[in-house]
Amino acid sequence: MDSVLAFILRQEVYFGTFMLIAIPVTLNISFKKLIELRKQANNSRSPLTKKKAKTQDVSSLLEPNIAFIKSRLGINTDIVFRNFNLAILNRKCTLVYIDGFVNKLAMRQFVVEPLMSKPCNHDQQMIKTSDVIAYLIDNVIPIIDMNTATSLDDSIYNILSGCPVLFVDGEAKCIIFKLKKEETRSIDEPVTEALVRGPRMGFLENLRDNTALLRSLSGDPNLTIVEQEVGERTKRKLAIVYISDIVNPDLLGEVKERIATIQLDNVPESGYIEQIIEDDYLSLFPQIQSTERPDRVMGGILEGRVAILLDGTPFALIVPVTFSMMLQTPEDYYERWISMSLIRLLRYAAIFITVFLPSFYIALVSFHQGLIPTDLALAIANSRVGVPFPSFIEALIMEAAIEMLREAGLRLPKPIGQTVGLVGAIIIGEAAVQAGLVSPIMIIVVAVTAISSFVTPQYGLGIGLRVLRILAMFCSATLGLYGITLFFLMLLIHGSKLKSFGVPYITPGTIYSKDDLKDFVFRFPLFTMNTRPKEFYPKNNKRKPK
Amino acid sequence: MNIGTNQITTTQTFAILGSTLVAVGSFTFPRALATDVGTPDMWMSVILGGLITFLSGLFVVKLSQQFPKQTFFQFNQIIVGKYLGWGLSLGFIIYAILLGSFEIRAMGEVTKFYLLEGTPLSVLMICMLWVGTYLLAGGINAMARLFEFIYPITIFIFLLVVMLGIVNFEIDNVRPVLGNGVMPIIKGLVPTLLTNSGMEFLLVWIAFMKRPKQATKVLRWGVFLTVFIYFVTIIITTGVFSVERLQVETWPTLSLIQSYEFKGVFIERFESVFLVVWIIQIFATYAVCHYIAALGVADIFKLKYKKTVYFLLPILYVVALAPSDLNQLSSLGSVIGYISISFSLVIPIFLLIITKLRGLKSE
Repeated sequence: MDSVLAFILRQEVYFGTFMLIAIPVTLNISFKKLIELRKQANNSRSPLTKKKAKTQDVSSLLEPNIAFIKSRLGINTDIVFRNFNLAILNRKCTLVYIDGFVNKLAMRQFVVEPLMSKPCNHDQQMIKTSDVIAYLIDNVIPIIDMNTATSLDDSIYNILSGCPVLFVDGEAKCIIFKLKKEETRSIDEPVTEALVRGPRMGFLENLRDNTALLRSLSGDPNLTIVEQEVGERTKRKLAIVYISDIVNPDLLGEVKERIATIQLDNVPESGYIEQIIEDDYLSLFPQIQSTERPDRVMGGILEGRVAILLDGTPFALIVPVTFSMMLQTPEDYYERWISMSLIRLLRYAAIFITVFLPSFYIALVSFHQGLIPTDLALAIANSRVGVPFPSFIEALIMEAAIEMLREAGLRLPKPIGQTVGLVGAIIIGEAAVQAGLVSPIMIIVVAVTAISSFVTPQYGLGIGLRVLRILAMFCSATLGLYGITLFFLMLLIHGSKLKSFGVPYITPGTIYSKDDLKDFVFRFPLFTMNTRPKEFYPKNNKRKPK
Repeated sequence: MNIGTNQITTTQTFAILGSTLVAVGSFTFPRALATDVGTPDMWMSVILGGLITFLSGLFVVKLSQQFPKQTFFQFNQIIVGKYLGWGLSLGFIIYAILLGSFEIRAMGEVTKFYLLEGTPLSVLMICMLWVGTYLLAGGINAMARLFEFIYPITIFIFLLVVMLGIVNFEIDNVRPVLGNGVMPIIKGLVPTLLTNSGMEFLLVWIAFMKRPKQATKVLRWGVFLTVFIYFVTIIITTGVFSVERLQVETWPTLSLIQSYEFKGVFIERFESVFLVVWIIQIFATYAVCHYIAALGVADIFKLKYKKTVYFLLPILYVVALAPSDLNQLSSLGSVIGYISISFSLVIPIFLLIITKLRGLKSE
């Protein structure tokens, strides 16, 4: 009895038990709360009581229409109301458009000129019997892309999105000309995903150009592009792209469902969509792939995935994604397989180094000097003579310095950025060592880490890995190699719990299908990759038609 | 999507079984076996023990397949009635808790001895329990995926590091074959069966399998690979150290790895690599035990699985702290081994006989 009492009264027993339970329970509760928060936020938005703003129909008189539009938009100086006479019927009409947003040349040539010119062979009788608007569309205005509207709200929306609208006196309809001035740049090589070999084209800001790019890459009639609008106020166009006889309908339904929950005023970039539809907002790993490359999107949808394109940004999203895909580039398939397999292996090694190298160094130097070869241990000990900080603080200082340099170089104009890099390198490389602040070996460790962090092809993943590196350093500073092992386990556990649209994040790593392993750490020769990845449950599994 | 079910694939079951079987035993097994056998014929005990484990595993599989989609905690009540079944379940839970605690404690001892001398044992154990809780909160699928990922890697590294010991191998140490007759080999069966504990968890896993028909395959490969690993370990440790020295080494496998050096490689000594891999394997075994215990408690007390994971934390911890030294720990190990034999051999055969006699079939 006494021994039991003595056992319980040991500090490690009662205090340890308390800590053992208290911390996971607290964490569990707080994480649940955080996840709940997001759900609540989504739910509170979801009853989409579309406030049916009193829709006003186009009246058959010109004045009330113009007055209504003026009352809504009249204060704006860039909105032009051009009145003229319709030559055929001698009726008044008004063309409303936004200055600078429409193609004026085409408007003059194809709208105003035909309408104002005296008809020579137009049969007045024919106009009288038929609908005026239909007649104008059919016979007078030589524009391909146009339609009509009966609601004034519709017309206002169209005016604001760059389409001139024509009101004709006596008609309860207006004509919308799709004569938006397309501000577009030429197709460039994407800056964030440059390749040595591969097409030199990246997406543009204009959605229509992007969908056309995709169409130009595939003549497949099953390539489906479905558009909808997002953003309550700004009403951006969003396109869901997939190949209808490959994609799994469950996945497609899930994507559409999640996109339907987007209720924002404004969706300026696809990053907004990514953050709203991703699975776990508390994870450090990107769960959706973003890319500027049309060939990557094409590859993705041919695997049975779904791409999401947004108007106004060159970054397309591809779902679902697994960790291994973050380390692939289209070039892996364009170059020959042996060298690319080795390069892929190198990438895996690089992410391992970028996360774990500083923490290994800390663990070896401060806990397990016995594990390194004697000569190296002596070299490290020599180089650390006179360094006033423990290796953890030393590493933290250096990491902070490198990250600041990187951030500074990123934002500055190119010539200054280079100078900053040079100055930083000299200061860190020479002066810090000379001053005895850090040891030269630490410089090597940090430099190797920084270089290998640039190897990750996906920028989003790189940011996450930088955070993980700091966490790993904390673990290693407290528990050494054991701490690193546990941290590594935590990462793997997180990876096996995390899902991207139903697909586990570490998927090909778990032997879900033996065929999928052909495209994991190694890239097998193309002739062996006959099936689409099973992990996405594609409807049609064969890559080569018989 | 159709992945979110509570079922595990055949490969995943194999990975779970394999990671459970390779555990603390890989560290202490050569010593235990050398003490009991005393001749270089230890490797025969390993193979014979593996065969017995496989045969008893067949009974386990047969029994589980009679009751598809039901775990041991559920079908034992059908076979032997409510109260006896309840007792059996409780015994199984206690066994899982003991095994899990044993693994954690042994892991803590080795880590403290080789890696972190100054850090208290309790801190090491608590950290691992936290990580385990994080894993178990994800349920069986997260666990299965994790093990499927780590099992091939850890086994590969494990075998590689052990096999590098061949540089100090002396063939004389493993001779003569059958010098003292067959008796020593029979004596070696007990520690072998103790080391193979973990197979009986198939009583639960088969219920989760997508294709329970393939359970025999899982058993065959799981036991084969484990026996192979132990076989290699035993042959090489005997060859390097001789039987007499094995009897006095506390952690023979680790001493083996410390006995060789490869100059010119960044890490000349591989015990750090080995320890990392071994910690991961121990973690796997502990997590399995924690899971089984939590599942059982949730089942017989009608609680939520996620809550029982937390309830079991202090029990595992206190049990792990209870042995005051390594000797007590190893006697706890033998107790666990005997319970394991009863659950993997005696009880399944009994239950199977009763099932057959009563003609029970799950509808």
